[in-house]
Amino acid sequence: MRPLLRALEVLSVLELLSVLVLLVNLATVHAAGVSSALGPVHGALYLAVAVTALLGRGLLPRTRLLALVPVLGGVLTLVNVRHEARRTGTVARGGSAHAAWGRW
Amino acid sequence: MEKLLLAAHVLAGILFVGPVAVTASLFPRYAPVVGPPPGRGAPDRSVATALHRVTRGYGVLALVVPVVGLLLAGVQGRLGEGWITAAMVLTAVAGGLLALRVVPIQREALESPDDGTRLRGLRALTGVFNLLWAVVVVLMVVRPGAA
Repeated sequence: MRPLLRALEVLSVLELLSVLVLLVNLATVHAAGVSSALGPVHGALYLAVAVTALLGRGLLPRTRLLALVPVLGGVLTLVNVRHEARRTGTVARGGSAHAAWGRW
Repeated sequence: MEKLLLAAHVLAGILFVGPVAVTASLFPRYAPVVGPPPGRGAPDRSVATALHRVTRGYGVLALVVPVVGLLLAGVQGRLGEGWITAAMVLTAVAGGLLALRVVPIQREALESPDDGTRLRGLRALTGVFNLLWAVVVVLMVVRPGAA
């Protein structure tokens, strides 16, 4: 897996975890401390995933756009990273003319 | 605590972001090219390599600035203010630009020099990067909408 995809994978897992904790907290105890501490952290992680997907080189438009979706961005990016890794794996093994299609 | 964080935030901004702005701007002038150097170019591979390493190394250290900034905004209870959010977005874009575009293009320019086309794009990207930082610093000083 390319370093870019690895970074995107790690960041999107963290984004997903942070939003899950926030949602569970909201639905159960709703501790104000958790919201105020984790809210900004989730915001920063959302930004990191969004910017990495938007500016990273050689990603599919779908990976870039879906990373911007609030709440679901993390899990969507995780799925897209798997897809990108398989796709680039195919290119590395032999390549095909249409493999570069859709790249920016 | 606030004063300590603020001092660390400003000091890291000056010492880590400042050098990156300079080295990234100077890199295209010294980067190797195939054929006659364009414009004011003075290709020198060892200088370009050093500039690339400073850009990359100090760029990583510069991560301290937004991390401490986020802590500081939390301690001061300013995280809900619009100018902080705007600065965070601009900082994220600037950092992304540096890590995902400027540094990789510099590496390519060192590994496989072209006729200077790549360096023109790099100059533009570096200009945008520096402009973003300038806007963030102005936001930090003016603090529009601060309580």
